[in-house]
Amino acid sequence: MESMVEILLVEDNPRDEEMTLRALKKRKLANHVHVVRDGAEALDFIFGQGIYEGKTNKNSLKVILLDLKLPKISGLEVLARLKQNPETLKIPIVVLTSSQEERDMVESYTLGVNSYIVKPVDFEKFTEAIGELGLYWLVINKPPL
Amino acid sequence: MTTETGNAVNDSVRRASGPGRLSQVFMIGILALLTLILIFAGFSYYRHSALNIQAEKVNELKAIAALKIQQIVSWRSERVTDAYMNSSGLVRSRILRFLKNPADEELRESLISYWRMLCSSGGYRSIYLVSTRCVPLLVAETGSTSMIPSPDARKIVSLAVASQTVIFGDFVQCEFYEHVHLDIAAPVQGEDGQIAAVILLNIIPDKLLFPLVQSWPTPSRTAETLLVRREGDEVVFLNELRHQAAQPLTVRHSVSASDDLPAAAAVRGKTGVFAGRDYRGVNVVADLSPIPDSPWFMVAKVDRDEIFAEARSRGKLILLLVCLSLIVSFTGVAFWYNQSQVSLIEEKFRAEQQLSLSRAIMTAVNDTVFVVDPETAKFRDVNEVCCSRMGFSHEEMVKMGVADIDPIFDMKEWPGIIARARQSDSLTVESIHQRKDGTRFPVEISCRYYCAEKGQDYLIASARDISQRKQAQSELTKYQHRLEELVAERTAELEAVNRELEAFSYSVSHDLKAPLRSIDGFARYLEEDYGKVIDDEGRRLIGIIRGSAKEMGQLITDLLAFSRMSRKELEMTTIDMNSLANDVWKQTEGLRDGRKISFEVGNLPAIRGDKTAIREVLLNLLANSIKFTRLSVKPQIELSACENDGQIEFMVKDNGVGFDMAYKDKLFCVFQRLHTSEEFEGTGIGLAIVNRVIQRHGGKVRAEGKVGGGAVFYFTLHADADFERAK
Repeated sequence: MESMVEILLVEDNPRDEEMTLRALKKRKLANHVHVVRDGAEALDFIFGQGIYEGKTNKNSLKVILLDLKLPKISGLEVLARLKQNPETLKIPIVVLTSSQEERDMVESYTLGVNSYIVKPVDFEKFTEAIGELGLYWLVINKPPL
Repeated sequence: MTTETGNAVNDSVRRASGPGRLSQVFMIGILALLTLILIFAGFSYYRHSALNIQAEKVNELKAIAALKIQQIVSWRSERVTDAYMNSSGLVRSRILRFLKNPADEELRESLISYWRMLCSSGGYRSIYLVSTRCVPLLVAETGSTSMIPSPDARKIVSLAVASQTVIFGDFVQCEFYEHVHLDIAAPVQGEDGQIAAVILLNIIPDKLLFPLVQSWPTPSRTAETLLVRREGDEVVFLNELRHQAAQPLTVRHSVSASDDLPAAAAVRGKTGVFAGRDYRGVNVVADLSPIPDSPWFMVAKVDRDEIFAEARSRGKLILLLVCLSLIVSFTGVAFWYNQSQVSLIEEKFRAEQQLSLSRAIMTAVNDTVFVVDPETAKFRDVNEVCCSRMGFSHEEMVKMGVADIDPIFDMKEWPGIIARARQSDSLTVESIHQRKDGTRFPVEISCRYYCAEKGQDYLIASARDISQRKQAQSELTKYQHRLEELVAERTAELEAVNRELEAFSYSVSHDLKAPLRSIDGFARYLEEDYGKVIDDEGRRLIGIIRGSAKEMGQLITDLLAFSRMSRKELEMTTIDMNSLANDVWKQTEGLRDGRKISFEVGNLPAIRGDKTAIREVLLNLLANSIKFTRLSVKPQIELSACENDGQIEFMVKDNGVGFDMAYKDKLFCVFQRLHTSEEFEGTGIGLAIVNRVIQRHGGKVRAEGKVGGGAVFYFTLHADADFERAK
């Protein structure tokens, strides 16, 4: 965890967090994951501020898995700030949410989200989806240099 | 209303009397002219007639005078002839014989009887045979006359003897004779050539001459002929006078002292027509002429009055005619004037009736009425209601104008208002009026423009106090505002409720699904991590937990979808149903489990709708058909459309298990299912979504089917007219 963080998981629900991590582990992708509980912490972590003072992670992140319903600062706002900042706009962001609301979906895409995934209730499907997206963004996708 | 009201109408009455004044002047002019013409014509005619009559009379006078002269001349010549006859020829020889033998009684008797005969035929009083010394030798006489010749006879006899010719004596009055007489002496020559005797013819003019002189051939009142002669400075009237009882030769006038006496003028040698005054001093017209071979002058005269009497009577006639004409003319003109006056009065009466009617109307109406001058916007008249409502007296009002009572009046706009009022029958405007006490009230003014036949047009305006209406309007507006506020409040409340609902569904989707996912996930972990220590029954129970969690997850998902479709704002676009249908069919591949299903799509028209929502409809219907054909040997699904009443009816037909028509009403209700979960999985939300979406597009859904005979679902949508037209 102290090494390069490649996946930032922003998730306030510890049970979902555990399931997500478990799914990533199955694909051996859990080594470079950092978990934050709310939007504010996510921004602090990325920009190296607050409790993460002195260490920015914006350059190492390969993907951010972002829940929308978050305490303090909502997922949509985090998404907006990152996509509006030239330093972070290239970091791929995948919204991972239970919300099937069209409004959320449209808003997210408008703000520049790279992928929007509705968390399936079905465990198998959930595990598969998380595994697939981890693999895709970390291994298959070629980020700009 | 005061006595001054109705000025505008009064004007019309006054105007109506205008022609009356004119006709009066005209009439007087005509009468004056007529009078002048008649008088002039009458006078001219009278003058002409008078001159004619005068000339006629004078000519008549002259003709009569000429006739008289001729008669007198012939009378004289007859007398002279008589004298010659008795002094020559057979009578002379007999006279001479008598002179030789004066005792011859037979001769004497024959001469006397002859002369007596001559006396009666020639108008002589007596015939004498006298000696040259005037001694009577023989006398033939009529009546009791003197046997002795008059003293004048002696002179004549001696003259005759001396001149040896017939001497015609003159009228004389002598003491021997009662009457004026006249002697003619004719000398009788003897055998020796000496005068032997003289025949003396004594004439009494009364018998023949005077009647001859005095007779007048035409009836006349004053006509008279006078024989006059001059004796020194005197003119002597020889015959008897018509108008004065006097003996002949007794009337004498001084010639030099009587310039205008016609007789004097005659003896002075004047001839022809002479106007003067006769012996009576009466104006006369006379014709003067000397009688040839005699010292006599004849004066034929008629009173000037008589001559002019006819002219005067003609003049009277003419005057009468003129007067009659004038009377007729005056009567005619007066009649005409009277008629015109009558019609004027009638007109005035009508105008007054109109006026009183107008007054009555003006008084009766409960609105303020103004009669306005279209030029100046000043009031010509107002009614009582107006005065009482505005607080001014009538006298004050008629001196005021629109500007004085309308605080928002602008004279610049006035011509425009007038023009509009002229164009349209009536014009209604709203404004504000201000009373004398300064209070204001809203009014509705109806104007009507009246064209007077001549002179000034006017505008009748009636103003109605619309305070109450305005108040009602403002209250209505207030209520409207209140209603709008209420609606807004309600809307806001509804929006708030909607927002709450959204928030609720949001949390449902997020917060309810997360624990379910955990239940499923962690149950699975339990199975994975502790599978070896859990027996089959434990694993079955874990399976139930997981199944239930999934089922509930699906319910929530479907419920949210339904809610979303109900709340979603529809974005209407043109939808190509052919491509959408194929799209959706591909989307359902996962549902088909690799089964071979025949899917036929007819030629579908474009429709107008929300693409996401319509896609949901197709997806649900196709998914349904796919689900319920699961048991069919040769599953078939058909999608087709037909136009019906401007709407497009789509039809999804399958040969699946179908349904009992008894439950067709339940098909489209939420969570209503006709099959058990064991037979066919599902939450009973799909058709409810279809129904809701089609309803929100203004269409209808229905279904037909029978158990084991397949099902047909219909839904209608509006055709896209623009798209159809473009095609």
